[in-house]
Amino acid sequence: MNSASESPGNQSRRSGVRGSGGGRHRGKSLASLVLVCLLAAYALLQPELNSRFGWNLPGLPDGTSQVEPGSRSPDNGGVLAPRARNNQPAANQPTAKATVRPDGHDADAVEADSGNSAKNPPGDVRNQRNNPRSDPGSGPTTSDPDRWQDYLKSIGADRYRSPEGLLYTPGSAEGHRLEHLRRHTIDQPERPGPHGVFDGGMLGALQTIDSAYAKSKRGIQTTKRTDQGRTIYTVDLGHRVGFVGGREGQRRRHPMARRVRLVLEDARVITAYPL
Amino acid sequence: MHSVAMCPICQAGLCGIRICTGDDPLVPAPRGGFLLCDECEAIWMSPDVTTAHHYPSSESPECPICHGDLWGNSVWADNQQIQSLGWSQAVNPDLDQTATGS
Ligand SMILES: [Zn+2]
Ligand SMILES: [Zn+2]
Repeated sequence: MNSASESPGNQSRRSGVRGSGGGRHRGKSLASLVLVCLLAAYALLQPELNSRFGWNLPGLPDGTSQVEPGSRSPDNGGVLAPRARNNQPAANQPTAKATVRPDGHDADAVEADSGNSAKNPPGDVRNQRNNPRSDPGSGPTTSDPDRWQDYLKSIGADRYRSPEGLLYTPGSAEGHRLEHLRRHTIDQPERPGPHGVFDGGMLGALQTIDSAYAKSKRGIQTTKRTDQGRTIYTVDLGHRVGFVGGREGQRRRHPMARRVRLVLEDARVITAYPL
Repeated sequence: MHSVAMCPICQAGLCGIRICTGDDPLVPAPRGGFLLCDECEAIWMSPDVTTAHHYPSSESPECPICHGDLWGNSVWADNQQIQSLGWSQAVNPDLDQTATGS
């Protein structure tokens, strides 16, 4: 907010200085003031319009429309068509395996606490428990789409806990629940039936799942089923969290998803996907 | 992967036919079949998802036939294996996965 309204002011001041004296210059600076106001209004309205109407208006290039830290998200996810969606490396790597790292993580790898014996999880969740900023729940790095690894806390060999208390542990055909979750960050158009795909890559998925879990604990817009130690929650998050892919999604032209199904064993995530 | 049905429990998984291969390649495989949901991991011991199901342990899942490691000791059954189980009639060809997923 501030940045959007401040920078036009600065710019107009600057243009006023440059256009020193003369009615023509004054007219010019008035015109540029109007232009700046229009741009500022656009910068303020653009995200709102995008999220409300599902439009895809472009942001301003100079940072006046920057997204505030922590406000990832549904907004961004909501404006993107399923195929054009990804600006997240994780989601762009349908074939990514445990050994493949998203680009640009060398520096991060250096940061990681090598003193901890916990192994890095599949899908290259690196050990970030040394992170001194980790006040629970605040998600200090959640505005950076590359840093979904930071979202989870290592709690032992291949075991990770989310800020809401969900556990991601070894298991599933993929070897680790996080690897299974990765399947739900990309469409599988050939897969029979529906295939829920989270917006926002791995970080988006983890945050959405946490939101759903938080809501489910309070019983808000949640249906709950229990079966032999499993709990299956279906939570309506009230906004877009992904889309329906797979063959069924394709047939239905990829409808947006605003519900999440969580299949849990206590706090352990077995699987989770949008629907 | 050849499947019998969409999972009635999670509604998103495919109930594929797996066959136990046992853990010792020198010993004839036990060759029992079961259904496994590839999403929620529910298991059925017959090719019919209206029968009783159970869940394997989430962190140390066992093959329900030989009780070895679920993923190491069983595979998604191919057509020949499905035939040998006598379960061919149960397969829903509309749910066959093309290419990936074995
Ligand atoms: Zn077995
Ligand atoms: Zn299932």
